[in-house]
Amino acid sequence: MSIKNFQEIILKLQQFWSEENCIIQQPYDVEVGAGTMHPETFLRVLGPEPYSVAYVMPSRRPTDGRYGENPNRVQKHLQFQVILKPSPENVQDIYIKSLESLGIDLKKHDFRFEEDNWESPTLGAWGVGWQVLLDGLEITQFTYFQQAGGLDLNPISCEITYGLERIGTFIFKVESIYDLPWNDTFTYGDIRLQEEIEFSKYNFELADTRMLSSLFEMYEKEAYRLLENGNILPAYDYCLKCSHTFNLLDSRGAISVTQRVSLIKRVRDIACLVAKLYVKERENLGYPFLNKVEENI
Amino acid sequence: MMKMVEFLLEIGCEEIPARMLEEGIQQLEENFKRELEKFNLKIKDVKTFKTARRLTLTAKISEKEEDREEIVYGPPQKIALDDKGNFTKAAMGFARKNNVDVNSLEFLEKGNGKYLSFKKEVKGKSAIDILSEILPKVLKKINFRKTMYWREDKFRFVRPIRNILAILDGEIVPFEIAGIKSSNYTFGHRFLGSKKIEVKNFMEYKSKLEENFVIIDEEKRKNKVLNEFANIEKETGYFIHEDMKLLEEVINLNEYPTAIFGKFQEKFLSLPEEVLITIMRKHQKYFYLRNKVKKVVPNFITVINLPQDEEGEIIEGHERVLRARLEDGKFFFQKDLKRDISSHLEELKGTLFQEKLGSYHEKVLRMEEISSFITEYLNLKEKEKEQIKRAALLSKCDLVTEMVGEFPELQGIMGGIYAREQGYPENVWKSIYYHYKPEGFEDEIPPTIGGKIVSLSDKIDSLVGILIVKGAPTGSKDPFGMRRMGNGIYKILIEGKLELNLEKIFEQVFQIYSQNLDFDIVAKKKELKEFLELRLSFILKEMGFLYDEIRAILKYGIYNPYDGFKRISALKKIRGNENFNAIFLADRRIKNIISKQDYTPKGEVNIDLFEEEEEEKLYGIYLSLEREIRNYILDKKYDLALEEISRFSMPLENFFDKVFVMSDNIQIRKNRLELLKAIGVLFESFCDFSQFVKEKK
Repeated sequence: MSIKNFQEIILKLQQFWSEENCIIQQPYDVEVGAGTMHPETFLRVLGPEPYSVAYVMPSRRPTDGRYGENPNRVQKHLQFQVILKPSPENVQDIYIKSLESLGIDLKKHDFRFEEDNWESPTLGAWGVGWQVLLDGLEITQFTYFQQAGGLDLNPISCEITYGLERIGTFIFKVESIYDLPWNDTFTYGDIRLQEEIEFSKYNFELADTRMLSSLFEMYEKEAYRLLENGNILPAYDYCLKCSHTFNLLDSRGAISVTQRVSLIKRVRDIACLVAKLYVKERENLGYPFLNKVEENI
Repeated sequence: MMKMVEFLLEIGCEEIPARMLEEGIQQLEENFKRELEKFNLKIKDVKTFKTARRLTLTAKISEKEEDREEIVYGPPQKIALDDKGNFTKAAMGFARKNNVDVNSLEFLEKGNGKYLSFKKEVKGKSAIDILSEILPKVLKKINFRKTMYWREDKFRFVRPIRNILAILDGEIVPFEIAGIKSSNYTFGHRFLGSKKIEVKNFMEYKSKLEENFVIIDEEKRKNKVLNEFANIEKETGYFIHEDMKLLEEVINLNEYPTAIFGKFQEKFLSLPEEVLITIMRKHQKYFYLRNKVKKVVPNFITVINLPQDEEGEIIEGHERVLRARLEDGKFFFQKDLKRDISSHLEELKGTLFQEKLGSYHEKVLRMEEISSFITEYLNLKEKEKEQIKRAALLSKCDLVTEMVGEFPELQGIMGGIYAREQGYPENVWKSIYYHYKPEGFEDEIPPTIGGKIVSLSDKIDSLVGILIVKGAPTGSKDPFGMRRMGNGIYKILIEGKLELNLEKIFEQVFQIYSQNLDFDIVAKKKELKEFLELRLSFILKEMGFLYDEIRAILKYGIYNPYDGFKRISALKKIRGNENFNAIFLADRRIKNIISKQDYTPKGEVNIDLFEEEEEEKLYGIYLSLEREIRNYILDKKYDLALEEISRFSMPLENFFDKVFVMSDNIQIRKNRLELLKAIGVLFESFCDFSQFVKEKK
């Protein structure tokens, strides 16, 4: 069966990973720069409990906005994120099967795993892995997480992040992501172009930097206040808000090089504290997912 | 002679990064040999192979260790026998403990006495047992520069190990590592090959893999690609830019590499070649081509991991990706060109060079000043001076252009191109264009005088600034690349044949920095000098000079490396000849004698105090040569100066043979020391000859 449009890629991947026993989650409702920041990744990879999950995550990178004028670069794109914890031995093969389920015949394409180690200074996280290139186009980031929130991970999770627009341009052989057929009637451009134009204008020109600076301070304060009360998940929301606020300030050119380092550290500090307390909390709960898996066996 | 059998090991991994394959395979071989040497096994014909997904080793080793005889010693004879010559209890105990008949015991010499002993047959271990024991160690001891965990057992490797083939003479060598049990299976190409291939020996391994689209031999992969390159060149009449580094990389990325030929639209040729090349070479790992008149053509070559591009879809895909990249490049180029390069100067105020050293705006102002010091020393024409100063000021403007934001490796080059396109004089744009060179020891220095000066200004400014705020690099750490800066400065001055008084320039740069920074200038100068000594030694060593030669001229070269280079080159030519050996031996002797005195001679000789003929002769030579030698040195005619210095060898030898310096007559002794001092000072004006050591034949 061949894929007819962009939304079928999403449907197909969801179906594929559902059959691989992943929980199919939904996008998180806070702005993030990458699918990794979704609590379903950042928090679930911590601690000993097994967890496999897949979801679409719109990722906002304000500085990548191009007012809709660049055919491949946008301030918001869609990632399809998979977390497999622990990482199975045949994880590469499973991933390849997922591409084949999209109708891509890899015997006829130049496919490779090329070294690319991922790092997120704001999350205190890094991993080792590859970018996946298909006929020279980067379609996926494939990472074995080693650390998150400054904590060593065990077991190791495998993160697979598909760039949905990239896969779309590959399958439909279009020059511009705006030409992707979203469904049989609408193109990606029909649905997203105006959003790109307006948000580029906001990110680069209109965002009120004084307001954003004070919001950063307020969000940070709120995060720590919540953490003091052991209110971990809401605190993490505020950590994410700090991160996005930082990105907006950055795209407005309001951050000097020296400030950048210290602001990133402030976000990371919250993330690391959240991670530490989350692990503690799961331990206090007796790692309930460990039992769940045992029951299944 | 023990039978030799074939061993074959293949570590099957998820894709190993190309840059770490070499260190992996080297260590595999070293560790294997080292572990095996601990046993009595013969080993020969060790061969290794590497691809992105496997590290392979094969060797011939003896089937088992030779059986051998070992002597087990017991108590000394005195204790083993009683007065009557019968075995004592101690002897009986020794026999019992070792489970041997008392009568088979004998007394054998050890050290200075005889001991109760017996000979024991030790069975050699079989190679298969030994391999089972050592292979896990061999693998664990491979240290990649970046490793990862993937399992709960915390085993570390460059990427997950997924398969291990280990056979000796067709038999599986059993062991387990990272949850993988060894087997006699390998696996083929990810998409075209079988996932499970049984093999019995290396020949079969190699041929079966090839049937399954894996070429195990790196040379063979390389030749395949080079053949395809040759065909493309023949068909098109173009020339592929030779790029061994990229070739090595694509050879290591692909188990079945095939070169395919693609094109891009002519309209992109309006982009500077530097941009086209960066996008193709750095970002897409494509090879680019030139035509007969050396112009880049709108084509490229990519190396894929398949035997062919059956339906032409692959090249279309690559062309699409390249087009998007070039489209980006064109957009940036056109956008950047709309603004004069100098208009970015103001924006540099917002771009930090280093926290304490300020913005790039401050940096270029310093560079402007430093470049004018240098042009002063070099006595350039006024117009040239002004142009080079201007180039120094504009040299970092491209950092805030769109193009350099996207392709940082084009910094400097892009600024030069924009300045050229916007009509700046050649002296200005070329000085900007080349000012990052040399980027490594292998790289060439800037070809123009302006490029050299702006490059020097940049490196001197960074070097001194970082030295002040961070100190000189220690150990293997050099986060700011200071060593490269130091090397670059020396390389430019030596290869560029520029005579410059660096000491004065550094002094001026310290003064500039002291206006805004608080630091101990004396201590920092000392630190800089020590740092520079190491850099100059390194550079000269790389140029093929020996350590004693380098030490002899080091202090002359630190602040004027080109002068130092001329001295050391003259020394190198003459070294080894008899006279020369006599000179450095004499110089050492002079320094030695003088250092032992409790007063310092000044080199003032009184001819009335000469007693011996040799003294007079030596002084006579001194008088006749001194002025000439000094003039040659002043004129930097170092070959001639050395020739004259060599003429001291006979008189000096005679002097030391016949004259006893430490005469009882204090007056005479002092006068002899004065004579030696005078000669020592003269020698010293060329170099420190005493540093030389005799060459080993």
